[in-house]
Amino acid sequence: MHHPPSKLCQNANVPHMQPVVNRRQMLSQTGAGFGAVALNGILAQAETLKTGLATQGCHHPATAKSVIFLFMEGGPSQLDTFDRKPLLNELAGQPLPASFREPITAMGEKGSPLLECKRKWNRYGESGLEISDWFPHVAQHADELAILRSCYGEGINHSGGCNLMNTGSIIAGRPSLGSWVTYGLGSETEELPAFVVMKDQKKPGTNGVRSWGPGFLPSTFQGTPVGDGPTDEAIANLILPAGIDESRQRQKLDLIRKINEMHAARLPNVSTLDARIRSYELAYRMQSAAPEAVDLKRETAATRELYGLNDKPTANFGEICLLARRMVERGVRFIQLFSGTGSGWDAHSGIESNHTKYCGSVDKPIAGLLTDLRRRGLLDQTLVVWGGEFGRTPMSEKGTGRDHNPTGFTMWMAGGGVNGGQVIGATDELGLYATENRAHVHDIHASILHLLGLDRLELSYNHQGRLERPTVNEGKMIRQLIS
Amino acid sequence: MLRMHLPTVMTRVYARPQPVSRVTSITHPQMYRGYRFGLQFFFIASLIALQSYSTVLAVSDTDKLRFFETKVRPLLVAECFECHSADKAEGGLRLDNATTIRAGGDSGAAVVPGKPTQSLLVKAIRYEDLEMPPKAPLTESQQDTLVKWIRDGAIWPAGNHSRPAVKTETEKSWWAAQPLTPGTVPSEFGENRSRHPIDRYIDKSLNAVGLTRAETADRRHLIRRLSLDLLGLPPTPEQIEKFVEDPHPDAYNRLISRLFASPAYGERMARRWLDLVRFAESDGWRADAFRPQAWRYRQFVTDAFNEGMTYDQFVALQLAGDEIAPHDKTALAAVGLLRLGIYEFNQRDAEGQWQNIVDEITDVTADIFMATGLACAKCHDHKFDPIPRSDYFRFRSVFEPMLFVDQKPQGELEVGAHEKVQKLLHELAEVEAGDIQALADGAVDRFPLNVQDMFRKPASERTTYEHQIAYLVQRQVMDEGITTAKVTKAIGKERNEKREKILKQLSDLNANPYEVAELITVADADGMIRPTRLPGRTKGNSFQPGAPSVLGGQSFSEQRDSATKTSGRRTALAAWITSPENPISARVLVNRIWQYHFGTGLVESPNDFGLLGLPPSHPELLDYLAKSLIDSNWNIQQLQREIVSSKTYQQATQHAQYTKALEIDPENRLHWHRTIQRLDAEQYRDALLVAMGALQMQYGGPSVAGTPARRSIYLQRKRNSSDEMLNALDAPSGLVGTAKRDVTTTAPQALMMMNSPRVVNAAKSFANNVRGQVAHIEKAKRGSAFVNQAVEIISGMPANQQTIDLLAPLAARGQEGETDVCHILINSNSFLFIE
Repeated sequence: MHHPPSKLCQNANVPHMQPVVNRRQMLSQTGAGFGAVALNGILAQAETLKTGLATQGCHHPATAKSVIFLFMEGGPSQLDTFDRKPLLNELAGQPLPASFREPITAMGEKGSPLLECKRKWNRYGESGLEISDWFPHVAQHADELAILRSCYGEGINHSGGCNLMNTGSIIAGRPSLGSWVTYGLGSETEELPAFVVMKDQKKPGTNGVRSWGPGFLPSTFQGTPVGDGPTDEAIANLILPAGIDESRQRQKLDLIRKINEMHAARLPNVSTLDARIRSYELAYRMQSAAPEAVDLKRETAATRELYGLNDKPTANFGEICLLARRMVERGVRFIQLFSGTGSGWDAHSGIESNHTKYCGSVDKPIAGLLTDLRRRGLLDQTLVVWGGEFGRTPMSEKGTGRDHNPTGFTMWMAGGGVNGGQVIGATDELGLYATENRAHVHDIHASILHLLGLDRLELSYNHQGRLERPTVNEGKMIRQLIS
Repeated sequence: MLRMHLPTVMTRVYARPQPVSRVTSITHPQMYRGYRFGLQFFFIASLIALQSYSTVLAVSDTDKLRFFETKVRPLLVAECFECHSADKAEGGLRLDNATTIRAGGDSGAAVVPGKPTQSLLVKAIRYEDLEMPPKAPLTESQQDTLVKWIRDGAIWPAGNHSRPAVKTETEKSWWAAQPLTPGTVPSEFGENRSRHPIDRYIDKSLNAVGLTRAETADRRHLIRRLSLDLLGLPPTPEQIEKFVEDPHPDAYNRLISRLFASPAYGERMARRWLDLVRFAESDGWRADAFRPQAWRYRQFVTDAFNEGMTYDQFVALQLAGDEIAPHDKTALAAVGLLRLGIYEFNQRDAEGQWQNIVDEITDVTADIFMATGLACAKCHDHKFDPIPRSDYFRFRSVFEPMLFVDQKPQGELEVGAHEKVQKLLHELAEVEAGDIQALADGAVDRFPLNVQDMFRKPASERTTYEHQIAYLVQRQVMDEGITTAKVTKAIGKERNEKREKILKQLSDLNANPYEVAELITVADADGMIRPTRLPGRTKGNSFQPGAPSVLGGQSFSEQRDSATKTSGRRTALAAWITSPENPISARVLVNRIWQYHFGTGLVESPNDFGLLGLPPSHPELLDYLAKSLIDSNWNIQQLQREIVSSKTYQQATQHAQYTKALEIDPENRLHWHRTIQRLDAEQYRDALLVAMGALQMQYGGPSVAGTPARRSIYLQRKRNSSDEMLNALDAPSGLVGTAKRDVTTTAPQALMMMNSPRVVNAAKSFANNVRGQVAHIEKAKRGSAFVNQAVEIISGMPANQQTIDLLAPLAARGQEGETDVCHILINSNSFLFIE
């Protein structure tokens, strides 16, 4: 048997992988057939019996089945959106009071005056959450939002921040959150990837493919970019090669199957060969399912309008929000949407024009997504997470912008079992440091995992002798999200 | 001009250091004490694990103990130990064992078991008397936890506060730390008997469960297996034929010799080593900048394997090439191992960045050479392996004085060139007029003040640590502070053009102060060597360089060279790794080589020989091979020859009694047959190029951008953007070391092989290649001949009749049909798997 759990490990009650012994046992362990586990997961299992890998299933009852993570790349300002600081405008123009510890800022401007917030704020919904006029549409969903105002991390620059938010460490090499989730839960679709990544522009994002990379997990669990290739195909290599029609492709596939079955017949003791034969059938089905999944022409005019598809500024992000909903409907587990790849939200100067543009490009689509999920009964099982790699400083930079602030920033969650209409945690009076109920990025990850039924300590992978866990053994569920 | 931007280390001249003495085996007494204390966590785990509760404690005590371990101890560790444990014991109070916690500190008893209200600890956490922890009070539930624990008797597991002077049971039983015990080579067993020592060990364990080894594979399978294994390339039909028909009794050994002699051997072995050491050619942070110098390390590795370098030398050069041969470019490239990690060009937190860099180097060095999860002990004593935290910092201190060095192109100046250089530098200063200096100063100003101070200190006054931080600042000034865009903005296009022209001339004279480094390497820095301490500490205990205690704990004797200032720490580490007394290194290497030839090592977890890994399937065989390796003076090729010449290696994939064998040993851990292997990413791509007749066998040199028709090892490997084809077949990204690749089978992989233009074009070229080879055959038979030839190229086997019947009609349909046949074969398992 490969990788039996260490006795020591079992006796000491240390979480470990439950290995699968052979193919037969694997199939019986994964329950009634293939439907319950990921497309990639099944194949990975057949192939990775040797590493003792198996999708693990829930550790406790889940309130969310899938996640849509709305990543505002570059770092949106909490001070001008969801975390109002009246003192900031009172002290605007003055340096940071001496009572505040001087932070290391990314750009290293020292002694810059505080920058006023020019937004108008209102209270929304029954809960009366304060939201600025940069998010008028999202504000209509105030009662769905749990606003986390006390987020913090160690990522001072974009690379470190994105790495931390996506993989739990500022240093490259760990699996992304989506990879952990699909490793833990698999997917509910065989015809689409379990972990999908979409961007609202072609520009590559900070850290490239690492942001959805599998780290030390098998590559099976990496995110699949959709609509990001050089051609129009939704997923890389989905379209038939030029000059090859459907029947020729089918003929080739049939012959490949026959040849491979002949080969396998000679080697009856090798199960990996079956998995490879099967992968072609799944690929073939993906070829017909994926184009349908991404075909927005099937949506009504009203829905397209809801997501802002008819207006240029919102069309791009609106499209991927709508695609995200279609994927959730089809059982995709983890969907990550990027706004402003290449640090679009990074308003070191001219925050007014930068955020007017970026907030304007996502506000209506996000609101549309929440409305649509709610009316289709999907919001209760779909966790929507909003945020960037960090927030921004109350101090100005270059006169009109704000520098990176990883020590105190805002994210919000909605759906997936989260209690809306509440604010969790707080920053100091100027919004520089998280002070109350501080929520580290590890806590945020632990919470997302928890809502999906995964325990951040029980989900583990033995990598080079270390039981690696998604939150690097730290973090805890933010209970207030569900209370 | 630029006076502060040229770190002194770049231009320093090194003298040859004195030979560094071999490691002594004296155990440092202070270290040993540290070790015993440090074993605490491990001991608890083993206490719980190895003794059943009922024999030690009453049932209710079991619950209390669990409560202690899951709630109380983690709380104490997180909130109290920083100031109140063996390391610090502020106020005379230690909260890390039962005796001292009851005895208390200067203020009196901390805990009165059963009586929370009388316990000073409770008053302190309630902020009633003392206010502890001082930063912020514990949460209510944390307070409740401690109160409940005290009310229930403040139970503390017995045994861990007084450590016996002898090694613990677990420590004694950790197999990897034991001396090599090969035993005597077993006698020959079974019908299929062999005199080869490996076979005798293997047959002994097979015999014990009533199994026998499979027959030897036929020569066609053997040559494909061996070629892909040793060269990473499939054999050509001509090579197959020559071997199959070689009447010489020693044909197989002659084949091995021929393969070892091929330069492709070094390329194949290098690719495996590069996985392990997380080789890639880019920074792997945000910019993911290409590293034009990284290939020199790859070249060293490739050459080392081809030249038959012994492992001890291979290790020494990679850890201490600069100390051993400071003027030798090969040695300086070899120690580039320590420069392979990721790097962020835009990081104002220079101190934090350096800490991460050295942590990573420490971890990866232990993984590569010791297969020991040292990294676990960075923050706490290892929970399972006998590695206390002190071991981590002793190991880390080996790298304490190490400085990154970027060597610019150097060359002898012609007579008169010196004046020319001076003149050009003068012109440069004029055209820059201090503006570039101002840009650079501005870049420095953005760092925290204490970092600026380190940088602005005269180099002669810096400690090793200040040199290290200054290097990071300097590099950032160059990479991020004075970019072309910023320079152009500062001095205007016209002046910059003038400046560029001068710089070009200076480059030709090897005197351009902004020149990109030609070689990235390391050297120990000048100045006082900073004592290695726990993170964030500037006082108190420091750690001297030395080996992990369970592996002997030798101190690494230090001899600072008066001329080069090098400490000799890394040389001592390398010498210890390959000293005959070190039980683990040879085992680790043998296991890696075994894995290279069988797909799985004798120890299945190649980078974890610890207690969470798995014990060896054939411990005596592992030790026999390890001892042979040491006896051969670490000759890697000799070890490989011994392995591949065994009948165990040469077995067929099929076995007459496979049903029975599968029941007894489904995973083939006992080697009753040959486990098939899927081509890895590079084998797949290289074999495709062979099938296309397109592979360019050009040895060595810098990487090539794009997808040239060269072996895959020469493709640029960037961490943030991977080659689609290599990625689909599980090539590692180079972000972390990979001792064993995953082998995944996915639908996207199938899509890539069916639809990607690269594979479709490969099928076309493959078809063209075969077409040329069968053109002389009469038309009626050409379809069959085409299939036969294509199958042989792709699988090393002649096509069987069924395959010909299936594919020949398609091949006879003209070029499109031939391309389809080739595309089908590229997708066939007889191509993708090695029997």
